Amino acid sequence: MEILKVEHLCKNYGKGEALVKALDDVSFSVEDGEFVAIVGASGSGKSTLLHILGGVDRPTSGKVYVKGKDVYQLNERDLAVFRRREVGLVYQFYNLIPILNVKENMTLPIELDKKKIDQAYLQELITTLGLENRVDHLPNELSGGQQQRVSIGRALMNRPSLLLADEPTGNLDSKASREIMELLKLSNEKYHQTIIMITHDHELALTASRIITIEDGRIIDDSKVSA
Amino acid sequence: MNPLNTVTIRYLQHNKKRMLATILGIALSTLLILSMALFISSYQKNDEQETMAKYGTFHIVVENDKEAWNILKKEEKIASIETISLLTETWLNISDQTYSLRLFTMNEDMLENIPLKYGRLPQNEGEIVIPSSFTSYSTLNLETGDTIDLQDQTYTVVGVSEPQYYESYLGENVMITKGDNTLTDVNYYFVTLKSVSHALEQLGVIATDLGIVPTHGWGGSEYEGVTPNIHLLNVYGEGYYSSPDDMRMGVYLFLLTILAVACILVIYNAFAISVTERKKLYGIFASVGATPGQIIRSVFFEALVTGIPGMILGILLTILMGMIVIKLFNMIGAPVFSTTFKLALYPSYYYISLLYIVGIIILSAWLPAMRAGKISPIDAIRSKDDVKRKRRWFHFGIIKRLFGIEGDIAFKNLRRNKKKYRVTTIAISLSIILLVVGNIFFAFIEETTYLGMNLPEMNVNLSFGDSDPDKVRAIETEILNLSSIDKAVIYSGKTNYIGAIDGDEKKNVASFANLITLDSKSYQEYLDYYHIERGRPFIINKVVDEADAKIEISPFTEVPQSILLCTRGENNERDCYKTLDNLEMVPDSLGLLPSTTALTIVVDENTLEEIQNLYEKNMSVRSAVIVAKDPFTIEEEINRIFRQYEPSNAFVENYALQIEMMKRTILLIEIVVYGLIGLLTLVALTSVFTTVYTGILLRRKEFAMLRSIGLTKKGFNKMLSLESFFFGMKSFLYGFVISNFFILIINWWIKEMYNPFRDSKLIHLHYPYQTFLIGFLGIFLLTLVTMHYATKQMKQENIIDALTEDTF
Repeated sequence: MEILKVEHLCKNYGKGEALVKALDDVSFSVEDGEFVAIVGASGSGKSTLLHILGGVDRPTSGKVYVKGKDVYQLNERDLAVFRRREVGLVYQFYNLIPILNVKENMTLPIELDKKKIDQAYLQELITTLGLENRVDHLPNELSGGQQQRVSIGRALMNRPSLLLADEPTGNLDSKASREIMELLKLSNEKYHQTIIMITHDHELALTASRIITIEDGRIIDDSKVSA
Repeated sequence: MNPLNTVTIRYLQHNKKRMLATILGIALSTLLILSMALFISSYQKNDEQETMAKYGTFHIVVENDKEAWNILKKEEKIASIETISLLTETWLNISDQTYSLRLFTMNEDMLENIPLKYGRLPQNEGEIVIPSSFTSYSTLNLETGDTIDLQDQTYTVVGVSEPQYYESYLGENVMITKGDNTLTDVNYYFVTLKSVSHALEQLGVIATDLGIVPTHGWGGSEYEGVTPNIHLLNVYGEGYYSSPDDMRMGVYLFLLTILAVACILVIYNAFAISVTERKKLYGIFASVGATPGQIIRSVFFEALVTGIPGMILGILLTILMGMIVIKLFNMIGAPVFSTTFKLALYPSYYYISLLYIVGIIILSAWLPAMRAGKISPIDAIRSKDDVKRKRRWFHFGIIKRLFGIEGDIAFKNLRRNKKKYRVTTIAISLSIILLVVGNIFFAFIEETTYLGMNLPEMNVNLSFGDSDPDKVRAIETEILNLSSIDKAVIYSGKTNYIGAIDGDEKKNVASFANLITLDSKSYQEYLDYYHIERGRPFIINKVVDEADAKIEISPFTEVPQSILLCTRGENNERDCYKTLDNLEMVPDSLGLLPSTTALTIVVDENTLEEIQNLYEKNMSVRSAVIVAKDPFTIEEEINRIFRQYEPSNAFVENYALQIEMMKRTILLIEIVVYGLIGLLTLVALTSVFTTVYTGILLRRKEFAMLRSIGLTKKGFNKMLSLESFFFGMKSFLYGFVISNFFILIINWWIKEMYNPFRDSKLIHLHYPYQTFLIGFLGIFLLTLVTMHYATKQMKQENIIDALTEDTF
């Protein structure tokens, strides 16, 4: 089943001579349960693409359909609700709320949605992420790898249609990076979670099932990874 | 709880100092606005009490027969009725004049409350209280112990009452006796209504019930024999015309609006800073799906969490401050004012104030909340810096040369944070402007009242006269012998036109000349001091400048040969009757005589008598100025002497009391005005604190970085001091420019509106250098202290921690 469809996506910054085409007519689609890695050099437009997919930045033109719904037809409020329910975002710099503990950070999207927390699922996630002994800790009491695991937990908590990860290991050492990649792979397999991950590391990209390569805002390659 | 609200609470707990500053800001705003209400309300209450003391507590007076009692008793809107009934009316003939004497009886409560000058209240039948106008100078000349026959009954005077409010309704010459509470054919019913609202309409209803037909007068319907206590009704805004109550409310609302703007700025600043500080946080919230509405509500939630304790604290502070101020007022006022100040807060003022404060908080939180709702997650995530390069027309390289790299950084920081500091700059400038305008306002009051004039050191001024010169001399001796007098000069004199000096009218230095004689002691003082020959007239070469009452000038450069004295006859023709020659001159009055614009010439008694006898043959008049440590005792003693000798005219004026009353009244106004300005400055200060403190917290990493690359503690302090200095300088300059604009306007206003009624040179306000200096130093010190306080912790913390941790 097609879960994401991107049509002729463009994003420009600046005007006139200073015009920068961050995304230039990008189209692709993603099937449910796929693990897609988007690779490209710094400044190629991959982060812009991810932010537009996540509903945090608006395209200059083009369409994004998630589960057949045109995301940018939504008003601000519904777009927020879309982000809350359909998207889980994982950033390079974790972006956790420093005054909320691990558990509170993870349940934040549920609380914002005023839904009941699925305690069994929360426990399962905490165990899977290896955070059993850290649930009451504040972000600044955790290592970088642990913080990133919390941010993955937060992204998965709502069982989103899409998990978008922006250089999730960019700030971590190689051991922690490996752990995070294993967790992403695990969530893809265990929960059939669709993942779109941005990285500039081709080796890490090989963890995914499909690699899209971007250069100067255009897709120059889109290929499956052979198992 | 909603996770956003949880975060807000924790954030506030985490930033206790800033939260306290916000709560304090709200509390002070509440205090400012409530105390205004309290002040105006109390003013009204005191006005009410003063009016009640003067004109009575009742609302309506009904003059009617005894039947009216039964109708009035049934009226539901009437709270209470007191009655005064006419017993007898008699006419007395004294030296060709007919006097009406009216004897009344009143109910027990009213009788007991008659304030007495002296004597006692009537306790038995046949005893009366008389008004003070019957005593001393009155033709009736009654005193306690005297008896008077009224319609076959003899009454004994037992007491003398102070002037009473009921006298104006009962007619002149009112005497009161103890009665048996029975109504007569003529009764005055003093009616107090249950509610004063629409009192005049209620009056109409009561009059109609009594069967009185209205006639139409100036103020609307009038009913014969039914009179409103209009003075008291005016206090409540229930009079015929525009009411002081409405005006007071208008002034209140106007001041409230000005203060509200200042408070909004400051509280807005607190919330705006709070939102700026959490910009990234809101961004993260937005990125995980918080709707704009949820974020907006969380800012209002913060307003609620800080607003409620702030308002409660403000109300408590108002009560506390009110109690202190009223104590202070009564302490200052007690020696000179007859009334005691009381605190009052009318519900209407109270609710309006609270509504204003709630409005202020909501308005203040509004913009920041909307801004928070619009924060784009992408901006927050990217942490875009708000430093923008602008084309500069002006280069401040001189700052670096003058103050070094620290000064350069300080100056750039200030420029970078221009927006953040804006509200605080406005608040501080406003404080300076108000301080300067307040200062000018009081200078103006002092200039326009006689506080600003050069009064001699004398504090009691008096005059007396009688056709019997022996009596006058006896009084003079008595006064001079009073032991409590430090210095007394008694003089008698005659004011003359100056006809010519040395035979030349052009040489006339003044229009008038006062010829005076002095009591022998004072006269001798002059003779001894200046070695003048006894009997020779001498000029005191000091007059008050006619153009500027504050300046004394010496009109003569050499002793004139002769002065021609004139008077104006019945048809205004000039009649010159005396040439003074063989003159002496002394440079100063030795502080013995008050300065006037007329030339003072001291002569011997014969000369004066000679002139006086030309016109006022049968009157001997003396004036005196007295210096005494206790002018109040002197005033009483002089009154006693006057009562003893009964001169045909007598007058005592205690300058000390008037000056003291004026001084204290101004002091009270100053306390209120400067108090309000001080409060506003405090509100501005909380804004300085919030801005500076948060500004520095947000720059924590930057400071750590500066230290990591070798900025010393000394350099760091220098940078902070310079930033305070530049910031203070900027706020001061704004305040300075706008204040000067106000000074110009006020001076123009005085020149245009005020001076034409007086002398053109009379009022000139001094430039408030001192206020500006105090304002400048105050601002600089406050900012400096706040900055150092805010960075105290930072200076000791680990550089690496600051560099790596997130700041929230």
